[in-house]
Amino acid sequence: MSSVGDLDFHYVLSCPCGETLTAPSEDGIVEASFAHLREKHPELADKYEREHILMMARRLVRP
Amino acid sequence: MSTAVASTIDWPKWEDPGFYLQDPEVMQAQMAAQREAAPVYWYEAPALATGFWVLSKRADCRFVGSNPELFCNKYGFAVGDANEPSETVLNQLPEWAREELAKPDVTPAQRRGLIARGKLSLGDPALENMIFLDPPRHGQVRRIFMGALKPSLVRRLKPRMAEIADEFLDEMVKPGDEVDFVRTIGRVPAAVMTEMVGVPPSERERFIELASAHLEAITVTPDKDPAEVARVKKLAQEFRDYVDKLLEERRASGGTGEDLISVVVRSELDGGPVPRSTAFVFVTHFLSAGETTRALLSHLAMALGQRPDQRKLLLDRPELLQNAIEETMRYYPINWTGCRTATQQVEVGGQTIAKDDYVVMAYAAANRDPDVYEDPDRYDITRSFENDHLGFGHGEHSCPGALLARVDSLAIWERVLARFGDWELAGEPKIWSNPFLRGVTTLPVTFKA
Repeated sequence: MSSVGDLDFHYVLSCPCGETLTAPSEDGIVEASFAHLREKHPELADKYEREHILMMARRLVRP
Repeated sequence: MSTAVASTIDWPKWEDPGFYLQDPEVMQAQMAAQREAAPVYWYEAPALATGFWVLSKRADCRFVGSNPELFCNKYGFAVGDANEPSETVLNQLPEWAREELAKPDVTPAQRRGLIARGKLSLGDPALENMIFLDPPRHGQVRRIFMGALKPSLVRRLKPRMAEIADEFLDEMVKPGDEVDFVRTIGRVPAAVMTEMVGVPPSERERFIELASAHLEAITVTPDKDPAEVARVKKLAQEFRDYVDKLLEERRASGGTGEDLISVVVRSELDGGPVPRSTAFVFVTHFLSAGETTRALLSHLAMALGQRPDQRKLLLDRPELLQNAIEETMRYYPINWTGCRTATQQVEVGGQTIAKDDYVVMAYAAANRDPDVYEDPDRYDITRSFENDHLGFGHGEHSCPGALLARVDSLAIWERVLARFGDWELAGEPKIWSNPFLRGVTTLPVTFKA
């Protein structure tokens, strides 16, 4: 039984601080990550670029 | 699970190496019984120097991992550190640790920390291992390590990981042949890591052998044959000499290369170059990552080999590969546990933990927490992970190589799925397991075109 019907995916990024960020698209997870950095880790906000965030984000099944 | 069922099941013997050698599902049933009846449990056994708290719920483990000011690392990091050390273990400790232990006012927590650090110090009291550090020092040291494994580097490496995987697959894995997954595809992460460290390809196999001996040398066990201890120590010394040579070469050339050692050599700690005592430990951590990623790759091959429906699902829908990697880390965590020591009295899960009490975060139990995961004892590669598992730990001591392990696993398995239509287990897997780590020794498989 390999059929599981339609599966939706989203992007998940686990910040080492313990917060898990999710978004439906690449652009969305980049935006959410920058917002999280600015709010919770301002000292790191300029250390990351889009490509870094996309490397850390995982495309996983959405609940 | 009902309380009636739980009461018929033995609870884990956390200090007993035999507990970790059981069928994983038997272990999980025992952990589940304890988690349900006593999610924060004070555990004592005759072999232990001190008892410890066992935390089996994900939320409690995350609380401990997230609060290093309440729970420190300097007094031990593994379940084995709580053991009453045998004479053999004490005799294998370096002189400096034995001298410290002989002092009359050493507390039980300090004693645990001294033995743990002594085992990992390789005789050098200055050796600075992140695993024993607490804030703010831990952050200062870890920042250098994370600078070497930064996302841009890992991203750049992914195509090379795929190339190395293809080289191994071309050479070692033919459709229809029975191969040992662990000794073929499972060697790719170590090969990737030796390249990242800057070891020439011609010296790769020898270096992996020496690195493996080094890992064995720091695992001091009471039942080791003295001749074997001597053999491993000799190889481990060769490994250390090799690493020192690499460090000297990079320093001499100004650390201008792109390899990980060059990145470390270019970094600063305490306003100066990173000392040998810290840089050396970094290199050993880099190389350990090859072994733990091998375990992750092998667990995935084994889990899907044992579950044809899940395997077919992944083969039909390879976009589930990242999910399968996460589910494998949840279901078969490589680290059973992580440990801390309370720095002050603190309440967790309704229990009062006293200052200096040892605390065991049972990651393997927390990853099956029914409050978090629906049907937690089912391996399901379509599971959603809005609640992250603890397969890489949690908090500032979480696995610093998690990104590398994930990308390495993804790159390698993408190549396997692109080249083969299916695989089957060709024999019983053999597992290695101790109270700290778990992996696969042999995994006979047959790939199909």
